[in-house]
Amino acid sequence: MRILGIETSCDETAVALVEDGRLVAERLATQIDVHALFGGVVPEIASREHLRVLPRLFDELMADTGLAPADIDRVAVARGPGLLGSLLVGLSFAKGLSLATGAPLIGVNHLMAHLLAPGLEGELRFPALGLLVSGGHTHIYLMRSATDVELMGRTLDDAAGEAFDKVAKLLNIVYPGGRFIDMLASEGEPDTALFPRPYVDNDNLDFSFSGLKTAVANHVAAHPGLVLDEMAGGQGLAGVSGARRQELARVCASFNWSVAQTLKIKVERALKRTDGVRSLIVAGGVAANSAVRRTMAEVAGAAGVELTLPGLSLCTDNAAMIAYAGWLLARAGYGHDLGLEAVPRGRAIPEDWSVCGDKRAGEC
Amino acid sequence: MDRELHLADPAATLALGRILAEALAGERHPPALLLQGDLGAGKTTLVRGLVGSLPGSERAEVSSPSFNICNLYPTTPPVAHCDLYRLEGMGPDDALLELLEDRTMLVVIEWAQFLDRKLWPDEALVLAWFPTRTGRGLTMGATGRTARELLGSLAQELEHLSNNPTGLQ
Repeated sequence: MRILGIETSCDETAVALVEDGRLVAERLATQIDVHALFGGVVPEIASREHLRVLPRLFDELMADTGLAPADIDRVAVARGPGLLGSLLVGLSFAKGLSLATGAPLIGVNHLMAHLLAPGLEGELRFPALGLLVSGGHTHIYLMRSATDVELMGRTLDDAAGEAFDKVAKLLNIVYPGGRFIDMLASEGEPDTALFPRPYVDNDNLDFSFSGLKTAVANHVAAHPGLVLDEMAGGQGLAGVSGARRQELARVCASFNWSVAQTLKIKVERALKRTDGVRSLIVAGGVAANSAVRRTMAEVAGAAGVELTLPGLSLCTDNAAMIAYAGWLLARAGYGHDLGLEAVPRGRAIPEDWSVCGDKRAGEC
Repeated sequence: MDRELHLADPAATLALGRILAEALAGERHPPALLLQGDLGAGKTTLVRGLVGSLPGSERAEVSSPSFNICNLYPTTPPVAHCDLYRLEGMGPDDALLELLEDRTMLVVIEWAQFLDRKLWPDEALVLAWFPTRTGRGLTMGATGRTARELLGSLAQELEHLSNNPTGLQ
């Protein structure tokens, strides 16, 4: 079965073709340069960019694979959460293609696709505990299978990735600043008393990173020498040296430590509350952070479960994961009709699939 | 008339959100909420208290919208939770301008200090945080008749909240 995947949730436009669970080809255009000027994604600009490049990427994918649209068996599309305008570009394209070719439509939960993506590189072992850490989300899931997933905990305010971006901004580091914080952190030792591990003295699996962000803001306000004179990325940071660099490294290492330890405490708590979990899947942009990767390896090791970390190219948004998740859903007999709706960030993605053969799902 | 409040702790900020939710849920065309405060003031915490008290909140996932500018919550009334943090020095885009005029939703804007005064909705409650030694201080003002009346009707509750150190009452 050949599945086309379409991804337009945020600032990457991507299409990919997965055949029987294996990636055949993909095309991706990132808008990072377009948005970097504004310190982050601008929704209106993102929608227009998706509209401009998506049809071209699709044509290129067909040329790369030597296939025609009629050869596609299913059209899988990221239906949320994301920017509403951006999602609608992908959804409209998917519906048009579905209508034109007769290939049934499958709406994919973008967050689930991130967690299932490592299935493209190796075997997924269920039941799994899924930790999704990105700019927009910090969620813990119990994944009994690819299609039976339960939310156990989530962020109440800032996501882990957002805390990274905001701390970077406080220090006058360019967006997205998470990797520079991680780079500086690797040069220093954490002062474990400097920042709190936020929202862990409770009995739940939710996260709140706003207190940590406030603690860093207070520390930076009290030590204004930490703030870079000019907004800097990799190049600018190379010019920072001596005591100032050491102090920056210590602050970043301490912040990195607080985030990783907070994730550790909640993930360990979640593992204790579940039975028979075989693997820990860590996905999303913050899964690229070295402290998070290291700490989660420890957690998995101590719990005797397998650690599943996607390769770095699958950590960021891509269409291969959408096509792959679509394939898992299609294989389980699920699909959507043309009434499929985009779900903006702010509410849970409904599991409103129909089983193929239903009137609603049509022929599939 | 502007009203000054002292919020002792995050619980008091959540409680203020609840008070606003109760008042705004009854409005057919709720005034917008414009939040002006620095990083860590408690803007998202306030919205969490607010959205958590509206009908339909069990299906809402409140989180900071800095990453994607606007979150839309399926509450009654529906809430558009927007954040201008990253738009510093740049005007809102068309999608945001449309939202600002949408009177069928409760529109909440964080970092409203980045919104040109000329673009403010006709009806709005304006919450501006200011530095204090302990807890959080903020002034509440209103623009437009509905918003002014609403703020006036909350006088007693706000007074009580401001003098109550735990914010739990």
